[in-house]
Amino acid sequence: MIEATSTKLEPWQFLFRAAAFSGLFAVVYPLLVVAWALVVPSRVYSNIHIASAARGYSAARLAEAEEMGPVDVLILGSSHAYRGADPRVLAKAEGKDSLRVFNLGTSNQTHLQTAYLLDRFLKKLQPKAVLYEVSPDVATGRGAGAALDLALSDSLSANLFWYTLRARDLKAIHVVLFRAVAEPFGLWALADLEATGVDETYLPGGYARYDGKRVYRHGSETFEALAPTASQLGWLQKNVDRLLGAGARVYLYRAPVVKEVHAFEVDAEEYSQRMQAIAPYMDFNGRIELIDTVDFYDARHMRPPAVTKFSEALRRHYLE
Amino acid sequence: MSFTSLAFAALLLVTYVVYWAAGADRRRLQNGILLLASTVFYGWWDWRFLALIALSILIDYTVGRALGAATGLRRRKVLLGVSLAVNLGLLGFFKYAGFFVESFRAAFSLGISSGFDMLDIVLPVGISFYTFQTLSYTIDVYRRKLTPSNSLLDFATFVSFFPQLVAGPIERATRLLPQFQAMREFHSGEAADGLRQMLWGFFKKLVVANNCALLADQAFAAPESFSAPTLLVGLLAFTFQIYADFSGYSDIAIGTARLFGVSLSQNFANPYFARTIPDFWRRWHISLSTWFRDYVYIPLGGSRRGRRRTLINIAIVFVVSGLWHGAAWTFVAWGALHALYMVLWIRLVPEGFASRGLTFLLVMLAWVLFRSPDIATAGQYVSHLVNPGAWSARYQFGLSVTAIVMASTTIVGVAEFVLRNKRHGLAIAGLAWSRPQRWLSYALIIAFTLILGRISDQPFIYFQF
Repeated sequence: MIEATSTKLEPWQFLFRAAAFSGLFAVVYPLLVVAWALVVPSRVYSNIHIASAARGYSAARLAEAEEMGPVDVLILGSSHAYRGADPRVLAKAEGKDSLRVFNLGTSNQTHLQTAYLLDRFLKKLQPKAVLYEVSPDVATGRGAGAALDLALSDSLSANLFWYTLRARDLKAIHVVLFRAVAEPFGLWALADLEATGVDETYLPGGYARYDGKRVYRHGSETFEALAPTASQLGWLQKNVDRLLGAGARVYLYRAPVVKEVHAFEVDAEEYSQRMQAIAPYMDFNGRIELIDTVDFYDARHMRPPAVTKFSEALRRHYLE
Repeated sequence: MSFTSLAFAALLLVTYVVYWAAGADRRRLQNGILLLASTVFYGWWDWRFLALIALSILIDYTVGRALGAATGLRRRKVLLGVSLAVNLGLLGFFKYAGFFVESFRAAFSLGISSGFDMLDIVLPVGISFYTFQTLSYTIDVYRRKLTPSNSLLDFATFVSFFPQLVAGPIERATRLLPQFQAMREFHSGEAADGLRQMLWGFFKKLVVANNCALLADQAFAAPESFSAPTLLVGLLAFTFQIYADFSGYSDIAIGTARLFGVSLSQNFANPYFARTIPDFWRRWHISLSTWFRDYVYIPLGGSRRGRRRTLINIAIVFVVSGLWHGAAWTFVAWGALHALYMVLWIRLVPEGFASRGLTFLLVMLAWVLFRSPDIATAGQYVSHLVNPGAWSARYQFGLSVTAIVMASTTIVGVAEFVLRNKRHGLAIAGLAWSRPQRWLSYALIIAFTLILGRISDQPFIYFQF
């Protein structure tokens, strides 16, 4: 592909020339990505899409975590965590002074992205206890959506690029490449990200509260059976080991979802056994009284009164 | 292991380095390296599949040796029968057992369980391809067109050669086996054009085929919910998807083989520019069409036994070819429809008549049967497509993806037509471009593939066959 037909090369010379082309391409390609992102309208389908807003307030949450300092309780997980566990409620543990609680949940956060966030914040936050949301839906795949979210929302670093590569999502890789070129030249800044959400409010401490009026309707969503991957379960085990090694108590939990999801996604009994083999685990589905069409606004997320009810149950079970 | 995976890139790089480091004069060592790479490549899907291909290799190697030593016709026929029975038996069991039992039950309305539901037979990837390849060896040895291999290593390398193992081109033993029995030299021009061909194949697969799939999958999933213009675009999308997917795979396979100094057969020759239906079949999946010609059509009598028998032979070949593609009535119907096209074309169309438009239209219509999950859906698709009322409804696919599909398909069509005498659509070395021009063109193709391609786990269509 690389050389002129008139030149006869040895196999290794040919390989070096191909490597030279690859090196040159690696330098030029990020420039093309920036040019595309700036020139081509975002409505044109492509693998380059630099969103104007991070989903689930990740940028605001990560910026707050940066300033937070040591906490008593750290919450980890996906939107089940940041939309489902209210730090203000968890802070009021009976018989204890007000706890410092921070919710570090991010959109679609799989255990691979949790590992990245522990790299970033474990030393800063030094949690005494960790409530780690482990829904089966975040133990599948490589967390492409979460990688994209973090690539857009966190400050740029070699570690962010490394974890983005591990998620093997081209859109997320493009975001990091874009930022690597655009930020030094002032073409884009993290501060440009809008902190907006539909019918949602970000509250200090990491919780995103739903303010809308929607309620879940049966049959409005489709579900599929999930198969947690060995790779993701491996990352979960590593994360738990690391937290224990840092002196934190670790509690795994599964947040409430509507009954259809709970019944369909995985065999709850088998999944419980797998989780309990890793750390203390509690599936809160069925443990607190919730009505699907009243307490949920979609199949996986609770309305604020239910969040309060669940956060109280979580607090009673693990923190009191 | 898919060509579009990082694992394949790593395997290819390591194999290339070790293969050429071994030295072109150490042919057997190079074959051993290729065999090891092929084992890793195939076992990546499921290591149990290795047992099946190993069985095919051992049986056909042994049969080949015995055929070489046997002189009596009766003994030779028995030996050929053993090879046919084992190979077609394995193919029949893994690919067709469930289909035939279910069809039998449905036809006679038997309320009993076949037991095949519970067996849940897994179709070993590529079994249709390597079975036909290894059969060509025993049949050619039987016909004394080929001297049997006296090296199990050479033979195993021939059957399992990883670039073309799972989706062809289906190589003849007379063409490929001698290449593993001789020294291979590195030609940088060949390797360079091999890489270009691979790049072109990736572009076709990731940009054209995978984006077309986005439209075609929706259209065929629920044709009743789309307008006729949308269905027409869905059908066009599948027409280009299957070409870009399969010919893209072939380009990657041929290009990969060229990196190792091995030449594979051309599998496509601008089939959608064919002027007649017979011409289409000389250009589409050439390695399979010629296989059926040489090992089914001609042994049936070919065109030597009168016009009526010729037409019957053609019909048999096309129905069997349809069934080769998959164990479903839709594939049988697709083969039968092409048989009808061929028969009608030969009988009714005046000699010398040629029409690219008509040929393309007929081929495209037949793809409805090929792509639909069942005959009923195919009927629904066509009836909705020809319903005048359905043409007044608006177009329902996203304009952005439609534009990408149209633009990329046009690029591929124009490039392959302009360079139709070359081996592939990126054969620009012959255009005497300077190195900066060539490198810029490669960079642009790679960039567009990364930016516009759907780099997902969408498998190649022909893997299922």
